[in-house]
Amino acid sequence: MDDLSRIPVNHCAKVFIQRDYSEGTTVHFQEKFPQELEGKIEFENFITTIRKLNDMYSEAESLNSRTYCESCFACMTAYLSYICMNTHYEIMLKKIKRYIEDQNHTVYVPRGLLLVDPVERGLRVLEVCILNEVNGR
Amino acid sequence: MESTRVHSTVKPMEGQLIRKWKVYPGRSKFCWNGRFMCAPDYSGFFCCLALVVVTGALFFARDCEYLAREVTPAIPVIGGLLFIFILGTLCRTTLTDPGVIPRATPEEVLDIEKQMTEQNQNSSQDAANGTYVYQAPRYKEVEIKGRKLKLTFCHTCQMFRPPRASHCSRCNNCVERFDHHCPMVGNCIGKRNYRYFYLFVTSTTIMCLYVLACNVAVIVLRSLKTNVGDAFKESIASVIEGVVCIGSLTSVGGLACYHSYLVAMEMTTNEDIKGSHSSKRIKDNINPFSHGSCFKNCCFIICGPQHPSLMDRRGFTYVQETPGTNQHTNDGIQHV
Repeated sequence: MDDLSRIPVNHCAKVFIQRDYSEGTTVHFQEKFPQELEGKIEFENFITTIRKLNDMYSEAESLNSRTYCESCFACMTAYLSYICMNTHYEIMLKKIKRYIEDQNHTVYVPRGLLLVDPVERGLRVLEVCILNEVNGR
Repeated sequence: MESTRVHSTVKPMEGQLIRKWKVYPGRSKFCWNGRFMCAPDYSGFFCCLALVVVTGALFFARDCEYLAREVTPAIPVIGGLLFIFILGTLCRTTLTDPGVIPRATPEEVLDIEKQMTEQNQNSSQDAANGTYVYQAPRYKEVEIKGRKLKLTFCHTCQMFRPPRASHCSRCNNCVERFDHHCPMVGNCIGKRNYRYFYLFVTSTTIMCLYVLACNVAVIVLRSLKTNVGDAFKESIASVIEGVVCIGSLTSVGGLACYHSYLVAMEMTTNEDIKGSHSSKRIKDNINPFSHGSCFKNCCFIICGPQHPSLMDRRGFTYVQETPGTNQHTNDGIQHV
């Protein structure tokens, strides 16, 4: 984890995967393969990662019995319980962070790519850095 | 001008680690080292708080004391719980991030710029003379559950606003599921604090009715023992509370009814005012964000997942070259 955070990403070329709003405002990234990544990573690997990420986000945003109980409990305590409790969404975000780190280690960095956790970009885009290409700016 | 806060104290050195809220370009105010945030015009919050606390204190000191002795001790208990709930939701509404979308990074802006110029070159080749106006209104069309919506480009935040998001001019931020800017609670109402706002408004309405009922009970009980004139004289506090409650009810009660309707329809005030989903303008205009039934919509608003703040206010960032970053934000404003 530490060695990955030290990779300088400021000046490398970047590919942005935009959000897909066709199912509403839930977090969902476009499941299509960007041209810029052709030849740099296998189609299957990339799509699997995006699908997995989308699944995790939709789990975080779904109204299941767990979030329902959690919200009701928080409401009962006049929302004071949020001071000392992590929400389901936050737990899922940590899981996603771990998943991205893991994918970076095993798949992306060996191929010269680096995924940036969408939370660091305000969930607007999924950023893929191409490490050995310099940004044309 | 927005970033004056950065320069107000000691000017940070370039390359120094700094909390992100300190360099945040919006106009929102932060307190307790970035743990809480509110709008720049937060004085309404203190008025609200004072009104609730003063009326509550009067109610507990005079009416509750009398009613607990004469009727049942359950009355102050119920009142106390409601009171704590109101304070909790009010503080939550004011002090949480309403769902601010952080501004785009320079790389993202470049990417959008590239895409837009490509698109414009394609579309305006036969337009005229090839003179392409740089800051033409930018739209991106998306389809949500079969309905086409236009996403507008926000020149200040340098991104396409997600559906339902809007730019609050007072806080100078794009807010997700923007409802309205509420000067009374001193914050924008958006995706992350709409639930608290709604519960605050409804619980305040219930509290007002409860206090009014207690006031009437106190005066009636006293007038049964003595005459009506003496009862009123003895319970001046109740009369004051009653006046405050009726005054609050006229505004808060209406708001509670209106927002109950909006919650059931899964609409925001902003959309309702603009008539985005009204079927009067366009036939068969359905709300693509509705979950299907009124009950489900209420469940999602009140018990749905709590979205995390995207701003990472307490995270650290390196101080960038200040002229560069300033130029970037000013750039966006000049073109508006």
